[in-house]
Amino acid sequence: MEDRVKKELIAVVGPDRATDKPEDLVAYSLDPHIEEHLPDLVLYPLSTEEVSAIMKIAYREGIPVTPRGSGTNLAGETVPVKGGIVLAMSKMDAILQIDSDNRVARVQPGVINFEFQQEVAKYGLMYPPDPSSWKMATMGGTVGTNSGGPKTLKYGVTRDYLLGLTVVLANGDVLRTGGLAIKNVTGYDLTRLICGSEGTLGIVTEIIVRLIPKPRASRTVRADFPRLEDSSNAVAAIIGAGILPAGLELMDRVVISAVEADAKLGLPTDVDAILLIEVDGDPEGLDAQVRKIEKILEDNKARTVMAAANAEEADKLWTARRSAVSAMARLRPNTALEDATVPVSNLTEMIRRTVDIAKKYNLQIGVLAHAGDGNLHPLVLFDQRDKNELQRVEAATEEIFRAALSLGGTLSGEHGIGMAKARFLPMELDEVAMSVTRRIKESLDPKKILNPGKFV
Amino acid sequence: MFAEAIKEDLYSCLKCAMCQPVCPTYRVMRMERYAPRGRVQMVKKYLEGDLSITKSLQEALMSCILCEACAQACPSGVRLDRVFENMRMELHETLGPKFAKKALFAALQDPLLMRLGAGIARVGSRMIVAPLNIEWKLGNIPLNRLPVFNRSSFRSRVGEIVPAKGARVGRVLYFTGCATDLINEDVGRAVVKVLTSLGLEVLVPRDQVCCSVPIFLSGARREALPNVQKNLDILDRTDVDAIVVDCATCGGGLKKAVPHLMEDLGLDTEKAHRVASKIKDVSEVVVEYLEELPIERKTKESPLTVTYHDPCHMVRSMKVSTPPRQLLAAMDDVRFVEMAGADQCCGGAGSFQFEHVEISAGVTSRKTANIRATGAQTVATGCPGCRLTLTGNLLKTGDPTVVHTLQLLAERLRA
Repeated sequence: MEDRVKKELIAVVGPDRATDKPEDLVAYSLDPHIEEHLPDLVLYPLSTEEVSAIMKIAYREGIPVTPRGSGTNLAGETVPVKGGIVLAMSKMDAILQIDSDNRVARVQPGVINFEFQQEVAKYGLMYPPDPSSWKMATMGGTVGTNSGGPKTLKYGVTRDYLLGLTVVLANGDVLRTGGLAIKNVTGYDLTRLICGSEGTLGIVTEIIVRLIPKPRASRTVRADFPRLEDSSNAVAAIIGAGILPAGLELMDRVVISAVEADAKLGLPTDVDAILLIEVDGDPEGLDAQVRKIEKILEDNKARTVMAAANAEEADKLWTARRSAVSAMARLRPNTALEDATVPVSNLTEMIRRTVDIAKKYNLQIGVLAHAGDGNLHPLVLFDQRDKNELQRVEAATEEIFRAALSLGGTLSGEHGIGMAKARFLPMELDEVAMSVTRRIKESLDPKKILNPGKFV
Repeated sequence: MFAEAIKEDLYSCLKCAMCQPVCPTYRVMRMERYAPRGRVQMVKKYLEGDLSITKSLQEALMSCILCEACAQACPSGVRLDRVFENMRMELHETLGPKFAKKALFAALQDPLLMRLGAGIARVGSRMIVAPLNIEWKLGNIPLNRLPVFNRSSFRSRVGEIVPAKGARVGRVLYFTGCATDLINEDVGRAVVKVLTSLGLEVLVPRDQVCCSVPIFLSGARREALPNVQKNLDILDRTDVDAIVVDCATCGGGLKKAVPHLMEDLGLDTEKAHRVASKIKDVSEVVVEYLEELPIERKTKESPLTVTYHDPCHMVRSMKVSTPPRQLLAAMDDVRFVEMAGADQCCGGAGSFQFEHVEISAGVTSRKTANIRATGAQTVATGCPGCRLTLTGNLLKTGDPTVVHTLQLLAERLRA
């Protein structure tokens, strides 16, 4: 980047909110993805106007711009592969408005998902999208990746709660989409176009979301299944019985062993799967629902079924699930967390194939799943300094994607494509879909400066 | 010298950022420079030869509070505290400390010099600051809120052997730390009063020196060694049941950081581990006698509302959080209220609050807000550093006073 341009960019935000010091560039060269690349400059804007001024300069000069929240995304979305500017949105962290009468809120992109949820809970309201990274993830980041979470099955993903956005386009123009009204069908749904676009179409600087009343109670049930297919049958039967759990999580044998070795929670290590089921709603109706679930689990050959008597017991049951990623990660230096997703009826088959792939490539792979919506999280363990193992990881990952697609699934249920899965995109999108994708990108970002080197 | 075993940890970092939300400096600054993940990456790139030691790198690493919250949160078990401690030694050996720190280290290393300094400060605060009502601040703390030094060293007056009251049931060694010795003799007296009333003989070796945690956590690990070794020689004895501390930093240092220091420097760790296994916070010793505590049964008509602040080095380095709360619960006339984020740093961290004033103020303001939300009249804690920071920042009318937990207990002992 030319000094002249750098000076001009720094002048927009001032020297306290701009840096090109080597340590800072190193700290912004990464996200959880394995590859890293140094940016030339990191800027911390505080307003839509500043972002617009930055984009005008970047557009004029053709400088790449990679927006970033907390950098917790899992597909390399925020690695600045082409250098240029990292726009760190973390300081734009104000909750601008919570309107409890109309059940809408306006926030800046740097607000942390968890903190926002805590805040709306004070009004008896809930914002359901709850990615596992919710304590770090920003609202802007969850819009960029259209995040889901354990509650997705019942409540949907980020895009289902977006009412409007303020977006700075590649040339610095400010686009306002949607509004405060809950129903709005005016024009193209530009809000949803931006949601999940991973910073390739514009920089989100303000977000309007809708909120829902917070359920008054919840209950948790755990079931241990000696056989994997019985657990899948139970999942299908629960949903078939008209029950929509707020969480329906599965841990496979590998993960159970790792958690038990690490945390000693008394989990059975001789079963194929453990299911954790959470239902929420009015307390009056929950007991009957829990009894119905217990019956279904027993009918589907669960060895043990445990319903938590109170919140404390429920928390204990969830500890196992919460410790799963840590327990696995501690086994080896690196952990890749994939998110191949299949129609729920193919869940068992997909887990089986994953286990076979692990054997074939001699890798440790454990499976966590949001079982209710067929969203698998294979955890692949390795050491990135072992080149041979790294190659096997890449081959195994590709095979997992192929398996998911052949079972009618998708490359990504919730993590996105980023740079990690960019080369697999044509496996899922046909020539027409790829062409439409490219044309949308070209019309909004003709100079290809927004988050270049990613999926589009 | 960066310990080889700790270098390996850097390759276990998943870059997941689970350290971010627990990091007090990141929460204030919202920049990766001030986040554990960013700092770990800097250390890694330095060791790989891609970054060199500069003032700017030093600032990033020295702006860490070493509160250990990140190490506790890390899913893959990276020992971030040890990564940063090793890196600080690299920085120190290349760049050296700032002048003010050099003077502080010199004082902490030399008991005579330290007593002389304390004497001058006592005179200064009594004769200049107090009468002139000077409104200057040191960091975020008004000068008139800084503690006044003891008239003379607590250790020199308490005696080397304080006998148990009544039948002797055991013997403990009391490592007083500099703060109690020179500033908070009220805490020292409370500790001795409580321990002896439990039937414990209390040994207070006069020649114990500064634990040196402030020196070696700044990176001056080699410079701290003489003091560290001298203390180990004094403390390594088989005729005491426990070594009692009233300061979280001394305790965390002797229990954890000193063995790590010896290990990282490739020195024999046997003695350090032997001493570490006997280190106990005073509250841990007292709760063992909870049933027999000769405590006044006071009326509950107008209870004193008390909240408790967990010092970083007590809750994480020493893993002590329940005993002080048990003591508070045992006091009839105390109503205990838990604050939100009790185990989050107060922002003080010794010299940190004077060197990183803006960050410290941000961290402290979260803590004081949480304290005020409890409506407590008193904050109990177990660290002289936290006490200093909280006292210096709870300045509004109606704000609670800050004391050591043992002071509350000592006041309630039957005569």
